[in-house]
Order: sequence, then structure tokens, then C-alpha cells
Amino acid sequence: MQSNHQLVCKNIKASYPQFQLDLDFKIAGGKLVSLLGPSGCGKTTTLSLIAGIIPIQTGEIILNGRDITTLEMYKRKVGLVFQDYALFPNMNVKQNLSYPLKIQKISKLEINEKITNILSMVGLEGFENRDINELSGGEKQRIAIGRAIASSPDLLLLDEPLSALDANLRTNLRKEIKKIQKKTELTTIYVTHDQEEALSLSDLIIVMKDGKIQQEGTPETIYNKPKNLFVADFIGKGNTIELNSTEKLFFRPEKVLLSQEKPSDCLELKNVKIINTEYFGSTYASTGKYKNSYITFFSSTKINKAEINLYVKKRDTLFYKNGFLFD
Amino acid sequence: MKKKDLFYKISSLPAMVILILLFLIPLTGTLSKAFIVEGHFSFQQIIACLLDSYNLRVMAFTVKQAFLSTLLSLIIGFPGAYLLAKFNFRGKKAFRSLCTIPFILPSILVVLGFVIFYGNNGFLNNLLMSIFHLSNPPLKILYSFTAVLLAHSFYNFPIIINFVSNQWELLSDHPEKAAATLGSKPIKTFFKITLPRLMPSIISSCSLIFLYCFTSFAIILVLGGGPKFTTIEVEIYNLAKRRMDIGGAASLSIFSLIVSMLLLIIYLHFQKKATNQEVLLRPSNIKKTTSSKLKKILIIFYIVLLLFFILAPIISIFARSFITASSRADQIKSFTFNSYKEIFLPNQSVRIISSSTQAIINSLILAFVSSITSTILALGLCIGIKHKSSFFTELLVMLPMAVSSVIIGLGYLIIGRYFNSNFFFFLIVLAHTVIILPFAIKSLLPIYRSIPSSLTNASQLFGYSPFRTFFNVELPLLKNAIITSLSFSFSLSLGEMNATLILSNSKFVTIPTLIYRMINSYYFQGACALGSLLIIICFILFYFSQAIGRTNLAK
Amino acid sequence: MKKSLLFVILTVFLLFNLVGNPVSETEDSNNLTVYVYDSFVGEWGPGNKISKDFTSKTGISVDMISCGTAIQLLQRIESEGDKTPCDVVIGIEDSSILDSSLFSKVNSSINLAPTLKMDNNLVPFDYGAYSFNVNSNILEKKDWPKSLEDLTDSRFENKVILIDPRTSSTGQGLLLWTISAFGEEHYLDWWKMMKDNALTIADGWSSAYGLYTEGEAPIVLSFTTSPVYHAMYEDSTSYCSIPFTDGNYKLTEYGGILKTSKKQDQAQQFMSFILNEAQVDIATANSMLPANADTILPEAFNYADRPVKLFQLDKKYIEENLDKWLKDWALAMTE
Repeated sequence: MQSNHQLVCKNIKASYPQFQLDLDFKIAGGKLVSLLGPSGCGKTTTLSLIAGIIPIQTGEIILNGRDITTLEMYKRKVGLVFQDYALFPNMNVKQNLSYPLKIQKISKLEINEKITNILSMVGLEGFENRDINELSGGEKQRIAIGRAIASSPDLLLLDEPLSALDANLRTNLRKEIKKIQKKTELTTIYVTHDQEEALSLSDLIIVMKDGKIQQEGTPETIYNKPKNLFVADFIGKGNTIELNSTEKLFFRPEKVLLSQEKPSDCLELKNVKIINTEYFGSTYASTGKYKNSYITFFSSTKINKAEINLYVKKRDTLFYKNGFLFD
Repeated sequence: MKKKDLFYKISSLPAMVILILLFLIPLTGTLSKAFIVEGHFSFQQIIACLLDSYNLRVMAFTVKQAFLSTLLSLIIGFPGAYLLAKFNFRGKKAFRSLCTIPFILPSILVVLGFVIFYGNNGFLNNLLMSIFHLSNPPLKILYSFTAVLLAHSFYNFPIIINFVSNQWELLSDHPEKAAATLGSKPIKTFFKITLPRLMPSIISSCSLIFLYCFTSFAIILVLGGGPKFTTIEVEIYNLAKRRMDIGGAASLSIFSLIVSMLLLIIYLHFQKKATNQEVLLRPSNIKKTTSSKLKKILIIFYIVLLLFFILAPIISIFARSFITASSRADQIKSFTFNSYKEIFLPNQSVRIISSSTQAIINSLILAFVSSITSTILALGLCIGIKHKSSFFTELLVMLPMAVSSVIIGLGYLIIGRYFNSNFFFFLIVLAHTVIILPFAIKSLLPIYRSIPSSLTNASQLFGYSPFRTFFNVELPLLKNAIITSLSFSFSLSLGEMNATLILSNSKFVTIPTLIYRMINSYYFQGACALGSLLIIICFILFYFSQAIGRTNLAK
Repeated sequence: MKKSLLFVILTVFLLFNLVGNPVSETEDSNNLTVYVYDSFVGEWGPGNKISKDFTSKTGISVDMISCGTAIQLLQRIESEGDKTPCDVVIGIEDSSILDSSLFSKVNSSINLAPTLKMDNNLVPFDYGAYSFNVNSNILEKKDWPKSLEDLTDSRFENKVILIDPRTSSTGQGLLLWTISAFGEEHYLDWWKMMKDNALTIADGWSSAYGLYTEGEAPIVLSFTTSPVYHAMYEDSTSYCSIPFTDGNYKLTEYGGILKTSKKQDQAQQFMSFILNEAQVDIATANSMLPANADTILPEAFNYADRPVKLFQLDKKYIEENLDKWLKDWALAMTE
């Protein structure tokens, strides 16, 4: 793999009614990067800018050493898998897949070979002659991904590809996408608002809010050392205790310990009033009130008491001053 | 910032060039005469025209009758659109073809058909008089405002049926189903959900119908019964053709243009506001077949009523072609095929000098070329409009319809002088194209606009330039709309009379001009015979274009 | 998809060339260009036969070009000016102002019918009179109206088809007729009274006459010579022209040779032909009376009503006031 960065987005600025976009990031070749953030934070807009659907006013985009800032869409060699799949309804599966191949001027034999390979890669062998309109959501998504890969792009963009599918399908397809990405070594940007997806798939996560990057980092870093409270809250469930108006303490529910007596090096939360308990099969999740904050924690057995003492190892807590992590 | 691409910029150019050179420029030339009073520039004439109370009264009536006619067309045609979009039944293709026929008839045939059927001495009255032994015709439908509205809606409801059903077929019914689950009653759902989704096609068709009725002429004068129902067009005709007062005619024309453009702008504005809806990219195969007896009866009732309404004048035309009416008291009306023979064999003695064969061939070739030209140009315009969303372009395209055909005719006379006679065919084709263009666009644009941009973008990201994307991805999805556009354009050209009369010389006859000549020689039988042939050709055309269009659904 | 598109484009261009190039007219010296009004050269008009007969007699070919209505004819000549390719004009109506300097003197001298005269080098070639025609099968002779005034009687309610003077020269003729008969003060009263009696006021003669022959109403505005057609070709005498006690309004049609024409000699021959040999054809086809008083007409012409009196308003008087009259008429009729 190349040592230089595959995708460089420099100083991209754009003004929108909901947010001001301000981006500056690099993505190394072969990596899968998630753009994570709430709806309306500018993730899809970012993809559109990179793909060339929206023209860039300020900034530069360099892909694989080429400056593609002002290049037309069809010259950028960027692949995009749309949320609505964008499969061509008047063509069958084979025709959809061969669409990007036809323009590459390769022989018919090679095209057929590639199609067979792609179909097996996405797990849909034998689907060549199927009618697009008869496919299920998951199948359509896989064909859409296969089609994007067929175009051999320098960069693959996925716009919330799994959001329209049911939970089971999502988890399964997620693994497939990761598998495919690893196999093809395509530099990929994956847009999602689902943090679980981002955590499980990515080599790198970029968290966005209101058009600006909040934090860039590996999933572990983002989860364990979120730079600010927004990221902390967004990336997973969390408990916040207000120390005063500017200082807050933050820790994950799974780090909360139940014990008869105080363990060493812990923060003690005395007399937490239990408000409710939810059963998840593998665990119980309970919410309790401590002073003015709500604390969520897990247990393997049901909590029968009305009040309980909770403990958190000090090293598992994060200290935030004015919303930012104080290290 | 709009997409900058050469393809999108130049795709509407050919059409714009033709419109500007062959329409806008001669039009402004003619209209500028309104501003010349006694040799120098002045607003005097046009201001006087706009403030004249008589003109204002006439304008008010023109708007009123156009508006009411449009409303009536909508009421008559809408249930038909519903029927065609949602139901499958035997004879559907034939029904649809029949419903489209009135629109392409030259207005003189419409007048003739109405007189033959609804007239005081028409079939209907004669039938009723013989059944009920009456001495006077009981139904005095004609020569009244009602007759005008009736004739206008007869003429124009096909637009509603075709446009609205085309769009309706492409709407997925998910929103309606969702509404039902939320407890919304069918009628409420219809008004709150379905109707707003149909707005683009309803507005498109209504604006077209409005313009047609606005500039209507012969129908109003003959069937209306008198000057009470004068429209602006009549006054323009009078000034331009009979008084040779071009300045006066131009002033009125500008007045007329202002009013119709204002209304058009309002329409187009509403069209833009129509919300994005869940669209299918191909007509749904799933149609209802209702089991409800009441619904079945209602449907049959509507179909029968509509058939009566459409077929009555059409059948009258057919029937009249077989009947030799004579003024001799002792001669009974005889049934004969003679007129059909006569119109084909050049008969030196009295009547027909040019054969209908030539007229039919000319018309067919002219229609073929015009329909293809206008569809191609319309596609170009659609591309330009969608990607550069130019309000001005849309308005410019509709302009030929808002201008009196008399004024357009004057403009063409001016152009005609710059072309020698060898180019007149070319000129007629272009004239037809300009006239057909608004219609072609209205059939194509809503469908084109509804193609999701993700498809276009996806194709481009795969390396296909906008040009190639259009041909590979967008065009196939427009197949049905293109077929509609082609077949309608073809028939419009076949039935076009006004511009052709102005431009052609006596050597180039088309079906409508020949019909016109026959009527002027009061050879009604022959006119009806040729008119019947026109109807049959169009019927076959519409029938088969539907068959072609829908075979790709059967896959 | 692309291949079929290419095919279509090619076909379009081929057809363009195929049909779009009729044989170009040769400009030879033995060819006359004659401007006429539409119906002269139409299916029913005398134009074609006259051209053929003239050519076989003299060897000079004739190019008859229809220019629309009589008024458009004039406009075209005026706008073409010196460069006009027209040699002879057929069909100027007497209600139009004419520039005498445009025309050369016509050499033919014929016996003109009574009330006709040469006009600024324009020669009348036929004339006629407006009249109301009646379907005698529906309305018996005893019930016919006797005059314009009688026509307003209530027994004719919805029985008369009139024509709009703003859109038709025939209609205009009726307007002038009423002005001539009742004067500027009272003509509008006649029209107002006719509102009830008129079944409709049609846009032109062909619509009006068509409604009449289809039986919608028994009385229609037409010409004294209209019954001739039915007598000749339908062997029918049911359609008659109503004789009015106070006479009919006249109309005359003129032809002329343009001074700018380079074929004066041939043009003179043509005009002579029009005024002599062609008179019968013209009268028959146009449903008018021949200008040449010596013409022998077919028997059918006996069914044309001979007006008691023929009259006409002064040309200048008309031109000065026509706009006002039309406006007043429109105002009165649209109230």
C-alpha cells in the first residue's frame, strides 16, 4: 500500500442553512473510515462534495495524488453507493453490474468473468438474470455495492447503506461489507448515524456535528477517550455527573461496579435510587438517580433493592471541563 | 451554483434557437407595430387599448370562458384518468384511443360534428322528435354559452385524461395506504393526499387547456351564437385580417399576452411547489379490479356517458360521410360510399381537383417529421430545464400557444418572404414543431423530473459523461412518455390547420387544409369522409402506440 | 438504442430532402403570375379551368397564387412594392382603397353590365348582390320576409343565420347594406332587433351556409346567385333567393394589370380572356353575375333573383367610417 495519503480534504468550507461545513482531514489508502454523526450534521453533504455532485466553493480535494476539486463527476473515479441503491430499474442484475464495466473498454469475456466474481463476492451467485425490482432490500444493497466495486474506483463512498434494512440483516451485511473492503483494499468512507456500525466496521472514525469534525481517531480511542462531551455521548451510552457548572465527570455504564463494600481507587456513589430496570436477556440495565444525575449500569441479576451503592474505578472516569476532556 | 456541463448547457439550444429565430423574432417584429403611432414610437396606442372598456369587457369574457371550459374539461376528464390509471378492463386500449381522438380534430370538424349531432336539425333532435312526435326540436343546446363550454371540453378533456393518468400510474400508493392505516377515510385521503400529488400533471394540463380555449375562435363564433361571446381573438382577427390594422391587432395581442402570461406564471409557480413524491419508475402492473357492485355500476355509467359524449359528434361525422343530403324535397337522403371514392379520384368536372391521396401522403410525412423533430427538441429542452431550471425557458416554450394564431401567421408571412418556395416544407415542419413543442414538453417534463437524481449521479460516477448518461440511463426510463409525446405530436400535426393554411401554397395539400377547402365549397360529405379517415388513422396510431409502450411491462 | 436513434435521424433528413424540394418554377417569358384570392383557385373556384383554357389558347402558362382574402391580396401587393413578381391581380373588392398609379390601363373594351364601370384602371369581371336565401322546403313562399325590416318580425325568431362583419367580408356587406338602407342613425336598431331572430352570427360565409344546408335554420345571408349552384349540380330548386322590395346591396370584383409587370402584352391577353371567354366559368364558379353583359348564361341562372334595385355606399365614405361602424356594432351587439 502507498505510504502517502490516499484522500486529502483540505480546508473545505461551505455554508448551509443548517450548518457551516468546515472540513480538513486525510485518509490513508486502503482504510475504511466512518463519518459518524447525527442527522443533519453534513455527512451526506461531505460525500456529495467528494463525489462531485455538489461543486466545491472553497477548498481542495486530492485523491491518489490527483487534484479532483474542479473535476467533473465522471472523471473522478469515485464510487458511491446511494441510500436508495440507485439501481437502474430497466436493467437486470447483470446489466446493472456490467454498466460500469462497459465503459472501461474490456472484452465481453472479461466482463462476464468480473460479474461472476463480484456476485460471488457479495454472496449472490447466479443472480445474473434477475429483475432488479424483484430483489429484496438486502439483495439490492449488495448488488449496489458490487456495482460500485466493479467500477474499480480510487475511493468508495457508502451513504448509510444499511439504514433501510432490518436489524439482523444489518449486522450480517455489515460483516460482509467489512470482508469485501478488506479483500479489495479499497479506500472507503462509510457514512452512518449508527455508532455501533461505526465502531464495528471502521479503521478510523470521524465524528461530525454541525458540519465540523469533532474528533478523528480509532474506534477504541473515540470510545475510551472522547475529546468532548458530544462525542462521548454520541459514541455510546454514558453517565454524566455534574460537579459544578463547568466540570463534569463521565463514565461508561459497563464500568459501573456493584459491590458490598467500596473497592480500591474508586469513586463512590452512595444511595442511588433505582428508577427502573430493563431486561435484555444477557443482562439487566438499570437506571438510578444520584443527586441530580441519572446513572445507567448493568448487572447479571435483577436489582431488588430500592437504593444501592455504586462504584467506578477512578481510572475509568473522564473529566470534562467546559465540555472538553481534561487529561 | 448550478452544474456546469457543456451537455446540459447546449441541450436546449437547438430548440431555443428555433423558437427565437422562427417565432420570437418575427413575433416581436409584428408586435412592435403596436408601439408605432404615426411613424414614431409611442405608448399611446397600447395604453388606449388597455384602458378601453370594451376591450376590458371582452378580455373578461375571454378569461371567463377559458376558465370555465378548463374546469369542465377537468371534471369530465378526471374520472377517466382515474379509470385508466387504476383499473384494467377489456377494451381499455380502445377506450383510451377513443378518448384521445377529439383533441386532434381540426376545430372546423368539431363544429361540424356538433352541428350534425346536437343541432336543431341534428341527429339527436330528429331522433327525439320522431320518438315523441314533436314538431319543434326540443333540445336547443347549440348557439349558446353552454354549447361553447361543451365543445371546448369535448376538444380538451383528452389532455386531462392522458396527462393525469400518465402521472397517476407512476405514483406508488404507499402514502395512501399509510393514510388508511392512520384511519383516514377514502374521500379524505383523496383530497388531502392523492390530489396534491397529482398537482403537476393537473396544472400542466389545465394550463394547456386554458391557453387553447383562450385563443379559440371558430367554435365560439359559430356555436356560441353571436357577438355576445366575442373573445379577444375575434377582435384581433378582425383588425389584422380585415382591417389591416396591424398596430391595433398587435396592441390587442400584447394585452392578450400579458393576461395569459400572468396566468401561466401563476400556474407554473404552483407546479414548482408540487411536493416530491414517492415515484415508481415504471407504471405499476397492479391494477384494481373492483368487486363492489356500486363501483362497477358507476364505472360503467361513466364510460357510457363519456362514450356518448365523445362518440356522438365523431359518429355524426362518419355517418354524414355516407349520406348524400340533397336540397330537393323529393329526394330522400341516400346512403352511399360515393364520397369516399370521390375524394380519392381527382374529378375535373366540379369539385375536387387535388386528390385526397396526395393530402394523406403529405400529411403523414409532415406529421412524421414534425413529431420526431419536436420530440427530440423537447427532450433537449427537458434536459436543459431540469438541470438548469430555467423558468424563462419554460415560459418561452409555452409562448406560441398564448399568442393569437393570426399574429403568428403574420409573423410567418414575414419569414416566408426570406425563404423561396423550395423551403416551404421545411418552414411548415418548423411551424408545426413550434406549435407542438409545448405539448411534447408537457408530456415529457414531469416524468423526466421524477427520475431520481441518484440514478443520474450514479451513472456519472461510473464514468459516463452527462451525454452518455442521458442515453443509457434516463432515456430508457422515458420510453412511455416519449411514445405518448410522439403519437400525440403526430396527431397534432395531422390535424393542424391554421399555420398550414397560412404557409402552404395550393400545391401542398394536407388533410386539414383539404377538409377546409371542401367545407368552403360546402362539400360537407367529402369533408366528413376525409375527416373520418383522419379519425381512423389516429385511432390506429394511438391504439398501437399503447401496445408498444406497454410491452416492456409484460416482461 | 443508439443505432435506432441514428436510423431515425437519417430518415428524418432523407424525408426532408425528398419532399421538401418540389420542382422549381422556371422564370420564362411565357409565364404569367396572377395573384388571386383563396376561393378563386380553390377546389371549387374557376381558377384552374381558366388557367388551362388560357394556356391552350395562347400558349402562355399561368401561375395562380392564392394570397388569402381579398384584403390580404391588396396588402401583399402593397408590401411587395416594385419587386412584386405579380403581373395580374384578380379579386380586388370595391370596398378597398386603391392606388390607381399601381395599375396600367386595360385595353379590352366590353359591354359592361348596368351599374358597372371602370375604376382607376381596374376592370370589373363579375358582380353580385347580397341577398337572403331561403329553404323553401321549410318555409313556404307566402311566409318569406319581404324586406330587411320585415326580417325583424317575431315570426322569424331563431330562423335567420347572419354573419359577423368583423370576421367576414360577406358579413361586412350586410352591415353596409343596413347602413345604406337605414342610415347611420338607425342601422343598429335593426341589428338589435335581429338579435332574437338570429340563430347564430357565424364567423364566415362557409360556416353560415353550411348551417343552412344542414337544416339548422331556413334563412341565411348569402348572394342572389347562390341558388344557381344547386340548380346546376343538384337539380334542385328548393334553395331560393328572397326578392326584397327595396333592393339589394351590390358587390363588384375587379382585376387589373400591374404597371410594374414586364409582361404587359401577355397580361393584356389574359385580362381580355377573363373578360370574354372566361366569363361563364367565373360566373358559374363564383356564383356571381358576369361583368360582360353579352355573356350567355346557362339556364340555371334563371333561378338567380334579379334584384329590384342595386345600390352601394360611396367608397370613400366607407373607408372613413368603417372602423367606427364596426366598433359601434360590436358595442351594440355585446351589451
